[in-house]
Amino acid sequence: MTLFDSVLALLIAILAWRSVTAPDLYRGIVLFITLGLMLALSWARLDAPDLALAEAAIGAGLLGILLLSTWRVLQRAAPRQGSDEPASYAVRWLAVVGSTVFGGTVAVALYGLQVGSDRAGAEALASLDLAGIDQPVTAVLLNFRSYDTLLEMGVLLMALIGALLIRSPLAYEPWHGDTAVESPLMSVLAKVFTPIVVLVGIFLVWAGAYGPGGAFQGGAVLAGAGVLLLLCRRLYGDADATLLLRGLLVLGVTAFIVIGLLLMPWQGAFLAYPPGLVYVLLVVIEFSLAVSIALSLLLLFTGTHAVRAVRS
Amino acid sequence: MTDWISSMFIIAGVGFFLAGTVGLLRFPDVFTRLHALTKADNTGLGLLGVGVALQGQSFRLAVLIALIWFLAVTASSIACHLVARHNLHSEEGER
Repeated sequence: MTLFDSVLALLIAILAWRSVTAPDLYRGIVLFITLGLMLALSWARLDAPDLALAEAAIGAGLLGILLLSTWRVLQRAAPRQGSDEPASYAVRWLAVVGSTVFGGTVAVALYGLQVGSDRAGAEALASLDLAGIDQPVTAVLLNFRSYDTLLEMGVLLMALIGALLIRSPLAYEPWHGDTAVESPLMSVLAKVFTPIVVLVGIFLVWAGAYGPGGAFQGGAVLAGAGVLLLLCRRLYGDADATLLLRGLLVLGVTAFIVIGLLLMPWQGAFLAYPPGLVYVLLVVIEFSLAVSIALSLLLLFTGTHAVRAVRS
Repeated sequence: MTDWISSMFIIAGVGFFLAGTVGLLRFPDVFTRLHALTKADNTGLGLLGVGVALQGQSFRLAVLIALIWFLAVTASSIACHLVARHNLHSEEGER
């Protein structure tokens, strides 16, 4: 461990501590976003660029903007939301005991962890030829453990449905006192920046086949482009969803299941792909997943059932 | 020789970042802080980029770094403009 890594580890611990103990909500959120960026850096240091990209795009980027937009709605609802009184002693002690037990258990489990050559990771690398795709992370996510990824997509869909049911009062609405929109630079942001961001998102999805990247990272970047357009008022959240939009939302899950089921008679198992077609199928699935992920994350931000382009 | 030039660029870039951070912490109001911060962002990142590109010794890498620098400069300038504008308007609102 070099000096840089030690400083990074220390910084992460301090940021985590400060983001929980920050005196006001806003500072806590900003510290949390910084924590996400530092975590992404630490994944990059651990030679896990896929995780670094995912953490930066989702953990720091989209989660950050979700927290900030929620904070803004809370501010508007009641400027001094929440009481400054500390929780009662019983609650605080319960939290202390709970976190200590949890942290201790994780520490014991990590201590007992032995990295050997017979682990799943080594197994996956050894049988990479069977996956039909060169990038180990994508091979594991979409082929060896495709069932997990399918269920993850289901979880994301459920989360979106739950959020839409709950978040409607917190839905993102353009603020009336918001002066940013009149700025001439906002159209630069919408016209020059968004296409580049979209390009980067599509590239990341495509790159998942041979390098760091993939549906989750690319989808998150595409959702970021959507958020940019929303903030520039080129898009707005709408209450009625069209059938097309709903279709795109479930496209990832549908593509996964349909391809898995269609190939069952030949392959004899659900989600098993014929060796010659693996590459094409995985790219198709990856792009469908990315579209659904991008749209789900964008709708999580607006808190509405649909987004529409502003007609000018 | 390249190592020396690249080190000079990186040290100069770090110097800009350091000055920008000190400015951010020490300057009295939003506008002067933004002034300090954008200098660190633009020039500091540019100098660091040139230094790293010289280390990389590859044209492709240099172009990618230049692109990243361009995006960072544009984004930070727009963000700076929006923060300043918001601050100006809210100060007018208070008066």
